[in-house]
Amino acid sequence: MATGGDFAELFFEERSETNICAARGITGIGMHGVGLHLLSGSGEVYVCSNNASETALMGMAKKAAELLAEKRGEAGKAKELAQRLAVNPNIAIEHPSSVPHEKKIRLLQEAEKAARSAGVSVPRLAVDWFDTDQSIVIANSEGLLTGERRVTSRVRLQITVEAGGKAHFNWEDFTRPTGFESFHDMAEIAEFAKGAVISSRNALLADTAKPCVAPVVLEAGSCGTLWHECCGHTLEASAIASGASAFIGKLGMKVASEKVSLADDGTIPGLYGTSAIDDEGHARQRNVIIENGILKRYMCDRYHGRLIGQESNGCGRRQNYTYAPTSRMSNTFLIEGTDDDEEMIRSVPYGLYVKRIGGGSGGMQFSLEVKEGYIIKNGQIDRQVRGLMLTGNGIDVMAKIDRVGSRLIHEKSGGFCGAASGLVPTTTSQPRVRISEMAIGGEG
Amino acid sequence: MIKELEQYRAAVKDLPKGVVEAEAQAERDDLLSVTVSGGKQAGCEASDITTVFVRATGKKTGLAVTQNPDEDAYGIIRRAAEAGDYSTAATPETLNPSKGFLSESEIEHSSPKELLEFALDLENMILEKDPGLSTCVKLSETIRGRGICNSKGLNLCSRSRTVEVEVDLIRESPYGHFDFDFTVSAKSLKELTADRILEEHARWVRTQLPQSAIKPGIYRAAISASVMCNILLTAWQIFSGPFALAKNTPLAGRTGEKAFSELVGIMDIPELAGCGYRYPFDCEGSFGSATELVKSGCVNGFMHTLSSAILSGASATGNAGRKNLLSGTLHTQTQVIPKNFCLLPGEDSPEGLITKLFDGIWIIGSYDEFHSLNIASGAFNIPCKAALVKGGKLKGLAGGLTMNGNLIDLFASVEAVGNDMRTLPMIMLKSYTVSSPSVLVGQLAVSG
Repeated sequence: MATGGDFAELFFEERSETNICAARGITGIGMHGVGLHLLSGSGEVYVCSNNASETALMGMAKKAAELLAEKRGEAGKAKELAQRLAVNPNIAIEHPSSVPHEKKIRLLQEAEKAARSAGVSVPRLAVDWFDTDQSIVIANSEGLLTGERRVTSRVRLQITVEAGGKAHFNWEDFTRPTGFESFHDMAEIAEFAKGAVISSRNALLADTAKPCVAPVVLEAGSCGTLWHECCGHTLEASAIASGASAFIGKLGMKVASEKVSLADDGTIPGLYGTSAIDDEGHARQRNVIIENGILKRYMCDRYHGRLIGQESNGCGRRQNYTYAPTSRMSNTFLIEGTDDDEEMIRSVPYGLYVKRIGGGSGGMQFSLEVKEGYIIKNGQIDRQVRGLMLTGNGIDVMAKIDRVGSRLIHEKSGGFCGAASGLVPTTTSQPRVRISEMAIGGEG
Repeated sequence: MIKELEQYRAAVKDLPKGVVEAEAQAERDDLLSVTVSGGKQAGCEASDITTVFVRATGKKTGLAVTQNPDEDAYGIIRRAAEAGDYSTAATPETLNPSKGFLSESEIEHSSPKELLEFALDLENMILEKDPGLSTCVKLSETIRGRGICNSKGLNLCSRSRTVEVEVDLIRESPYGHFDFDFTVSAKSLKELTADRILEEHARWVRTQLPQSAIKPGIYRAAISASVMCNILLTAWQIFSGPFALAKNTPLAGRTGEKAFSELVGIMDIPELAGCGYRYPFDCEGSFGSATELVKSGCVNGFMHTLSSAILSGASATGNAGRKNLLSGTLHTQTQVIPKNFCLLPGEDSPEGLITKLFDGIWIIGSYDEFHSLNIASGAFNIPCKAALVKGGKLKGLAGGLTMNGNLIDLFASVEAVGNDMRTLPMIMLKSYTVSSPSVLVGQLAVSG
């Protein structure tokens, strides 16, 4: 910092991961490294290495100072470090290293047995186990010294089903932000495995649907991916700072139907996107982004918040030490409304009911894969349809939300969001919602 | 040489008790990058990460991975062998029996100042051509080191320099908001010439058209090189040897068959002119060969690791990698990934393709192929945007579309292939590249 930086942060990481893949045994992975983030005015430098020795750290500091080409702002001084305790709301009881491999293998065998008992031709099935035990320590020039331990566990199924001379590939995760204690209920795992095979077969055999513009009802729960993709990414400070958002300059303005209140909250125990602190040591918080259709705030990390004149609000995240932190979502959800779930479908003469969304991409234009969708005909859920994508412009779609149900269901599993700072765990949730009309693209 | 691998070279010659064979493979990425925007340096990154992957066979083969430079080689070899005890595979994995030796010399980084000046010049050059733009230019230089040694005598080490420029452009025009990002790579700063960047910019400018509507239907269509690259980033998997063995690709069992238009040729090659990514050998130490996957529309073969090659009765093609697709799966196990996967160019210019198309649509943008393409069936429903073409002229742009079909049918209906090769590295992981020119297809279903 003596050469012109006004803020510096060190991010130390130790991570053990175990991957069990029946045919290839067990892989034990040890990740280890440190990242140095140096800011100066509107400039940033990030240096990282898997060598965290004192000599290497001094070398990294020297390199960071050298890379800070324009020494803008006053040379900063680092404050004395004061430790701040952070306790992860997701408490792991059976840490990955304390559980014998045999127990995890038995679980996978049971899951495989359940998947094969579904009465479906499954020419390819892989059931894998992943767990991670990550410890981070963050120290910065403002005197913060903090850290956290984060444990996650996951069963992944990769399935190819065959029927009627056709094949279909699918994958499903059963993820928990905890240790092995969340995997004791074998009936739950078996149901997940069998259900994944059956839904893959159903998707393969489903009808095609004619492309149209029609009302779309999205089920409560993980269909909240809609919000992650249709506006979440463009409400991140990095998108605002780079000019890649339709929400620039719209704070305090109406950006959605008044039925829309959207939050991102990394504090909720039991959810995959939760932690005590973000990856810059800032305490996680509940951020109401949109309230009754009015844009209230952006999701900010320290650096991009600085570029748009806002403080961090606990959204600085990264996959690991090899990435500089940036603004990212955690548990993003639509806040419950007051509308009647049944009426939403009953009042639709022809439309689409989406029970599950597979994934998608965000930005000014977004897209979502319909993993399980049904035609609504005369107010009733009709036949299942396949091969549909929902595409649109976030602002347009948010203006067309005409129903928001009263039963918010948080996604129990969770997934990864891939962006500039790597893959970070997230959840997406909502109550049942209806979009008055939307383009539905498909192969019909 | 990768210094982290040195202790393993000794250890694999003197294996711990109970370990029959072992292999250590290291990947080192030494990166330096600068980002400029509006004529100023906005950011800078430097990283130097080495990861060592150790396979060891006791009764079966196991894998252990470390980034800790202080971990003892013998300890990791023992850990890998113990992990193998849990494998349900019928036999131990095959380690590369070759006694090959390769040692490429060290490569020096360009100086930060040199990179910064180069990036500023590039940005300036774009702005001189098109002053109304908002720009961000990231220029990175990565020295990639790959090394492998095993108890059978294999000892290889390669060094490659990849220079890459990532450009983000935004324009607010009377027709709306247009943004565009593209990547151009080279083996040195000298190779990264201005005309390549300006060519990309010029192509983008052509697509800034007034809004139009495209009705759902089946069209003759030109598909731009960038959209073809987006498709190939996921679609290459239909040429995976292990997938073919598992009948998990629509091309399984079709070797020798004419599945595509005779204009279609697909190759996977270790080194491509004008592209900064180079793969002299793979993660198992198999030297990369130019693999002809499709020749004049005929399926000629698949990409293989050592084990899938043995099971298929084919030769290893130097395609054993670890980082195949962006997913939450840990990138540690070897699996098939491409090197430089190319749809071979034809003779038509992109303008010539539009003239040949005459009436139809030109697909100029696409996204989210990862979720919209099913690799077992080849079916796709890809979100896209397209320009309407009438009488060989571009008439307007429509977004919010979906192109629907099957990869096999798409490649079978190719009527002409462009000469405008574009290359795209794998998103984020940058572990392989895909290249393609624009193509003209006889029919493509579009909805939205």
